[in-house]
Amino acid sequence: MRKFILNGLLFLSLFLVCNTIVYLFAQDVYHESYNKVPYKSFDSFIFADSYGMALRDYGEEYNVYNFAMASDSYFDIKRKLSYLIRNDYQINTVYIGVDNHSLSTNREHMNNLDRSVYYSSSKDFSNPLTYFKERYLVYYVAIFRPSVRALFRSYLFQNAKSLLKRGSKVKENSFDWSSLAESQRKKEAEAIIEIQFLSQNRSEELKKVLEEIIALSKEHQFELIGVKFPVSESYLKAMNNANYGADEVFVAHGIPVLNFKRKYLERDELFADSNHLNDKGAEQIIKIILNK
Amino acid sequence: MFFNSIDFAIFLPIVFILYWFVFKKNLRLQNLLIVLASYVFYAWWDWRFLSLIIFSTVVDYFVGRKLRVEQKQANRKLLLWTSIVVNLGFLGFFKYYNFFLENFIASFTFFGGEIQANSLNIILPVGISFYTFQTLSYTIDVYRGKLEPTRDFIAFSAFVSFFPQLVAGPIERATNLLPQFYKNRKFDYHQAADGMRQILWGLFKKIVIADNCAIYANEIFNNSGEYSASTLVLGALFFAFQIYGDFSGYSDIAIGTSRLFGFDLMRNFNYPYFSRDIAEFWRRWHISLSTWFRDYLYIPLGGSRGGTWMQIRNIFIIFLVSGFWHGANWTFIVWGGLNALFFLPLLLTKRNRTNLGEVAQGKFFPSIREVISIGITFGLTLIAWIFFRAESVGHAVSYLKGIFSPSIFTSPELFDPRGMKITFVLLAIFLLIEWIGREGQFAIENISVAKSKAVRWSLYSSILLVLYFFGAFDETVEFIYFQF
Repeated sequence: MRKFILNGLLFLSLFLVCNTIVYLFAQDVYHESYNKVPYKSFDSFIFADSYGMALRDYGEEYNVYNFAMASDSYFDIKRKLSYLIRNDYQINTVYIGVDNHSLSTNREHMNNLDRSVYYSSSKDFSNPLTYFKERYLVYYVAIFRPSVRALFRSYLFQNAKSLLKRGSKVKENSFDWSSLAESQRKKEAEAIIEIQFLSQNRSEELKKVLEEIIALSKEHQFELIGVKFPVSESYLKAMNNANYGADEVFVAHGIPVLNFKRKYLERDELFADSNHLNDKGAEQIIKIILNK
Repeated sequence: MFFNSIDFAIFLPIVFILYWFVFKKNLRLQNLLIVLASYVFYAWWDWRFLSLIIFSTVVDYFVGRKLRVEQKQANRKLLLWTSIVVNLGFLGFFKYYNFFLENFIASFTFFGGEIQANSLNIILPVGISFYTFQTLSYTIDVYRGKLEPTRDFIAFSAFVSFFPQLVAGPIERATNLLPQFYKNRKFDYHQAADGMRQILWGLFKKIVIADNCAIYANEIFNNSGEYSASTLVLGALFFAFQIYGDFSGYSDIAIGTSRLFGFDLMRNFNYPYFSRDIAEFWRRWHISLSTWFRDYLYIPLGGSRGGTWMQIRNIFIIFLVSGFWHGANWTFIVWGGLNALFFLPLLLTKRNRTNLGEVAQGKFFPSIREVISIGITFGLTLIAWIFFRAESVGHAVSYLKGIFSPSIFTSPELFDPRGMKITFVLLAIFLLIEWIGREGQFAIENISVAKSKAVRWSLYSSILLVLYFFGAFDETVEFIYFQF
């Protein structure tokens, strides 16, 4: 037994060392950009996925904090909003992305639940065991997390690749959407639509969480406004009116929706790709969203 | 909880520590710990179905006790049938109710009738096909006088619910496993170390081989109408290794875990894809199930004694029932039927026991004849696997039609070239390791003969690194046999 325990401890030590390396990597590359806590001076917030993330910090001069993050789902948004409420933030207005794809079943898997757990409390989980497991075990035993593993793996392989190329730098991606040929823009837009609108039915689970967010706004008396972010003409054509109805949920509850889907159909120079604004586009739209 | 989950990674050391450090000196308490841990393990899936397994345990325990004292043959038969009806009744209702109802309605409609009946939304309790057969083996062996019925309810409950093999086998015989609960277990370093090695290999098979193959098998089978014949062959190949890696991987983890607690479970897979004929394949694939059917169905039916028609009948019954055991779908029945068709010529020509030894024993390279035999046997099992995997018989038939078309001579479509090439390389390495280690209980068993600790730990680390960097953690693929 002694030999087995000693070998077990040796294995555990090696495991802890490897996990520490991966955890520190994850903190640096994966969590640091996500785990941000706004100052309490902010009283308005933007929540969305990458559509809202494109707005960067352009709203801060109007005291609006951009909490949007790529791949954020309504599960993540609810955790962040609950965090603000729990920590006594003065919330006047909350802008939430209610785009056509927002209730896609895709978001049940492609989300930031392993990161937004940072903002959660035990009340966000069905039982204390699950909270402990997600908030501490899964979070700190980073070596097992699929998202961290994928990042770590591509980081290592990419570095190995550049070493093998004898120091040649990996080219940066300086991409200009408006400079692409129309056929290429159409192809890229269709590729995105295929991923976002894979299933015929919307996610009832996400719809339920969206309604819980609406309930929070009524309980804590802050204004909720839905936002449909601008997309390019290629994307709109490829989407062909597909809509999982996040905006309809808002309308059904009497909540206003600002629809900017068609705002920049002839302004491809304002886009970084088929469905995300670039800095120029972001600077313009934020003033319109905030009515400035 | 899945074996490849963080929940199990925490559960196992806790039970291990309690078992060997807290309850070491008290056999009864050790067995009780096994029972409680097993119920926690099972309840993690769905606590509502604990009542079923407990009920089944109680019924069979008392049937066994009664069989000990009952002398009248008629009453003994009645007791046995009570156990059979209860166990198969649960299995029949949870697994087959909707299947029978739908087919009954379909036949009525076929003959022009009309019938209104609602299928039920029944959840299949995890592991029911396994533990019902396990407890049945107890009552049947007690009835036959092969086993003394137990008076120790705790030991019996532990036998029925033993967590490593509860949800997907191996289906243990009472004659093998139950006596192990009566004996004091002493910690054996070599047994435990071997167990850890087997767990590691099982995880490799499941996470690296099975789950990576599953990604491509699912894509090709779910969109079979869009792919060329050569790609469909690839799909069948991927599925063959998915199901092997998945099921044998699970069995390795189950057996390895049991060894950590001082138990020896029966072997469930013996390198079936190296079989030289179908009879050998069925001696090497899901051994616990095929021997169960042999001992409790085939032999009582007469086995291979009797006339030709009786032999044919018995073979078909066994394989059709075996197919049906896997699931309530005609595809599994056809799968069983096909295997019966492949097996029958060997039985009738008395060639079903020609390949009993190890393939290429003592040699590295097999003979040309062995290579051809292995290839043909593998090809036949591949055809049958198509039915096993397909959504319906129609889907399987159109899949096969798709294979036997001119595009068989075109290159397969590698829709994920990088991923698929990596998977091919991993499969090649896996097959090589399995081939080299084919005389062991599991492929890397003989790593233990390497005297240097550095060499052994380097090998383990290599497997772990491959597991970490190439395992399909991103896709949550359930163990296939959990659905049975």
